[in-house]
Amino acid sequence: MNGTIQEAADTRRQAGTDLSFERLYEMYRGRVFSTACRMLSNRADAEDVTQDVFVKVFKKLKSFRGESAVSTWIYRIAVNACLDFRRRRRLRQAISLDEGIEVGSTPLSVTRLIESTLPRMAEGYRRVFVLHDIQGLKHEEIAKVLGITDGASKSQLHRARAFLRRELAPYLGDRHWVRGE
Amino acid sequence: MDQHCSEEVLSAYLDGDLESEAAGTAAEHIAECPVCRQALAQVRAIRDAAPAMEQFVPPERVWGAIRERLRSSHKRSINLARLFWVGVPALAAALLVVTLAGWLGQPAQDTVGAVVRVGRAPASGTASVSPEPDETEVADEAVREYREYVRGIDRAIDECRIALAENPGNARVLAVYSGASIDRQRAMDRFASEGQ
Repeated sequence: MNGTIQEAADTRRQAGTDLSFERLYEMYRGRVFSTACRMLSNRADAEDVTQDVFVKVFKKLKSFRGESAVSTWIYRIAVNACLDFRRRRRLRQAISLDEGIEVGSTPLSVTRLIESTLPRMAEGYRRVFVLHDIQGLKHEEIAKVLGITDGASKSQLHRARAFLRRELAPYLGDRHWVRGE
Repeated sequence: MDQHCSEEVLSAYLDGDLESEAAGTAAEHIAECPVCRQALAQVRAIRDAAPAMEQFVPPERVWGAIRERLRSSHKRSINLARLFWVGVPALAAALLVVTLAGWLGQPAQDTVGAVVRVGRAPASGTASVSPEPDETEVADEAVREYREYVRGIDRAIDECRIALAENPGNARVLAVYSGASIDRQRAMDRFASEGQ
């Protein structure tokens, strides 16, 4: 699924039926849920947000004008839902990282290391890293999703990687070497 | 370039985001600097590993919960629509009752009284006085108004019944229904007592 305008048109045409929504859910549930898991660092919260996202998608689907790709539109709803959730949650309690997501079973794989480090990354960097490096969005798409400039997206991505590299340096090659600034 | 490349420069270099001059300078330095070469390799390892990170799939219960929320939301919107299409006419009918009641309030009693008086008039022998306008015409008009008044109440009551069948808990319609029923009973009682 490449999120083209044609795809958007197809989705809109089918929007009136429950089936098309179900199809949309099947196509995007992984992306939305994974993004929510990594942004919220909590699987149960990610389930709630995924519900919110798709309920919103369903309600707004008929008014979707296809001006942006469906994927960009859904990611925007997902990211905003995550931010809203965190905002509400912050009022109640700090996020418990102990309830975090289950990561892959490969011990000390780079992906596992990244997964375990993500919750400690600043929210702004994390959003861009998740969307760009993990979910594969382009900077122009991220700019639309987050309402920032392409340059800001690139800058945050580079800082996110810098943070990860610093954190993971002991496990990447020379275990005792962390590069100084 | 004497200093090491910054973390951001390494990442930007990797993505080809540097201007050509800056990219050239960074490339020269990285080629000569083992520290930056290693750092670049680490950034590359992170960047290349990220797309392979697991795509989590939400459990089945999430889809079930979404469907349930959409279903209840749909029901709510239907109820709101019903409330509009049934509640608005009911309220309109209630307003009609109120308006009619206001219009016929005190005069209505007089009118009903006039019917009674007219009904008694022949018996008391006052009919010969023949006041203007003709008492029979006044009586007919009064009966017509009375019937119209009661019909207005009946219409309101019917609308309320329909609305309550759709939504028995609608407090506003219940109040109107109750008020209209009382008004009707009072009108009937008054007419019956005055007419005897």
